[in-house]
Amino acid sequence: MKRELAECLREDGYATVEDAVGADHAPFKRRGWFGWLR
Amino acid sequence: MELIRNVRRARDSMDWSLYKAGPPPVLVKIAPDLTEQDKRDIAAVALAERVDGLIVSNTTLERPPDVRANMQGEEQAGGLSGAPLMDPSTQVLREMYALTRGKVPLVGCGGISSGKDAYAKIRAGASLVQLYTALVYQVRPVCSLSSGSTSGRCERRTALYRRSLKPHTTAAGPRRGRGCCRA
Repeated sequence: MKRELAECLREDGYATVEDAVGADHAPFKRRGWFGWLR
Repeated sequence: MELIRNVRRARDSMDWSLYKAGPPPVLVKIAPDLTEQDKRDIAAVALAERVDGLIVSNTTLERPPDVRANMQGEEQAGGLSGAPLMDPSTQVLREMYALTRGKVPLVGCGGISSGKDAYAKIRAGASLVQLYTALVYQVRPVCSLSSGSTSGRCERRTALYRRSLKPHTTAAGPRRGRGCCRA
């Protein structure tokens, strides 16, 4: 499982798990949280 | 809100001097079957009370269509765990990360049985992931058993979790999550 997770991270260009936390929210983060929540 | 305060009071009244990691953090585990208002309320309380973390999510009382198709008309009681829980719990996790603006550490839980599942939880906002049902059905492929005493492992995990409790948001605004994951 850890191996598979490491592969997923590498494929998406993340060096660490920490970098990937909340990555799905990146486009919204650029617009700002309140913009997305509306 | 009162419940969280009471639990913390009870914890703080105990003697934790024998534990190197100190008192355990208090996390709130939430259901995946919440209304939008429930989620907003929980996020507001979590932020106001500065809870140590949210576990998203518990088992579901819902029965997804593919599960219902195999029930042959029988009604089931109780919470459903495992693979059918993966998508709904990840969606709630994603929403809670947004509602808490990345400021509350989230534990991704529900339907994780592979590295890809764990990765999906992490991307949705989990700083940690938790397994349970997969351990019942496929212990070895999921994780190797580590050596050492159970209490020692618990202390190490508590220490790891404490390190992950740093806020996910800086004064300048949200940034990519900070935390640790030991999948």
